[in-house]
Amino acid sequence: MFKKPIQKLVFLFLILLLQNTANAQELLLNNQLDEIIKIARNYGSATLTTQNNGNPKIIGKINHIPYTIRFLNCPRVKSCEDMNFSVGFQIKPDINIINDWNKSKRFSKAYLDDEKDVILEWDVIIAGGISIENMDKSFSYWRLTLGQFIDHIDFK
Amino acid sequence: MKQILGAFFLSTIIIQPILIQPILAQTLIDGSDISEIINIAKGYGSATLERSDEGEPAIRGRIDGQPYFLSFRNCSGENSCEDFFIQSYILKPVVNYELSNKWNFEKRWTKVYYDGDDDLVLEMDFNLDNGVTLANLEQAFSLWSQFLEQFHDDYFAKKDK
Repeated sequence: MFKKPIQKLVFLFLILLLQNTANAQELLLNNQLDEIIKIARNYGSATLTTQNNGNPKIIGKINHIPYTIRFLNCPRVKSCEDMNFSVGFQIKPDINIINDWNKSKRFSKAYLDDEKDVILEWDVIIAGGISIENMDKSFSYWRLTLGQFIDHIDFK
Repeated sequence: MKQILGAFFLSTIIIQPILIQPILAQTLIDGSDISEIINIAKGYGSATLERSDEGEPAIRGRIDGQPYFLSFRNCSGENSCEDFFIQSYILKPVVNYELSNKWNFEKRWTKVYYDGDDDLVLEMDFNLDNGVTLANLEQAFSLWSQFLEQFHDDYFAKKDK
């Protein structure tokens, strides 16, 4: 295949380069908002916008349910340490129903706000970095959680 | 010229794994790195590996004297789990849903609820699936230690029944 030793060396160099690249798990850092939006769009519509304090925010929909992701603890522009998934419903369930949800379901918490409307929330740390697959799993959990919660509070 | 090129490619073949891997990849910790996770827990207090009632790996620990139990979940094989949750309890407090709701309203990262025995549970979930960096996991333990202290020492101070 290769007549000259230099050709073999070049080929070996390229093979190793490809292998090292493939073996490296893709890391999602806390300033890669574009990657997070891409993942969000695998689950429904998602738009990157800005909060009143200038920090990024995603407004999305999963299965027609609108939700918000606020990015928090942003020491630099668009470089934030964590995310807060949330959705609110103008429904006032009994506090026992809220307690039952928090007791039986993971990867979320529910509570009544000042007006006794129910809020569902979940926090995710992105500081230091997580794998892209890990972030995707978080969105998968959130989709599952949303579906189960609207049944739990009998939202129509 | 050929010798120079040959020497260049040979040297880069040798040093490529050393140079490129760190640039492209940080070490990620997932649910198969339970010993690494225990090491992080030990940075905050005592921590020992146990088994949960379901037979999955677990960590029993203490931070500043307050006990907690970390349960790994969705495990395939002996020690490869997708996630964990950490819990701490206040046994049979006065049931006060307004106060538990206030915690859930005000505090991030954790939730509280009354379980089937009317014990108050502080809980935090963590997704390990496909890996997170050491720094990311350490941040989780740092947050847990803060809320554990608030839960036991301040927020739900023991009230007479």
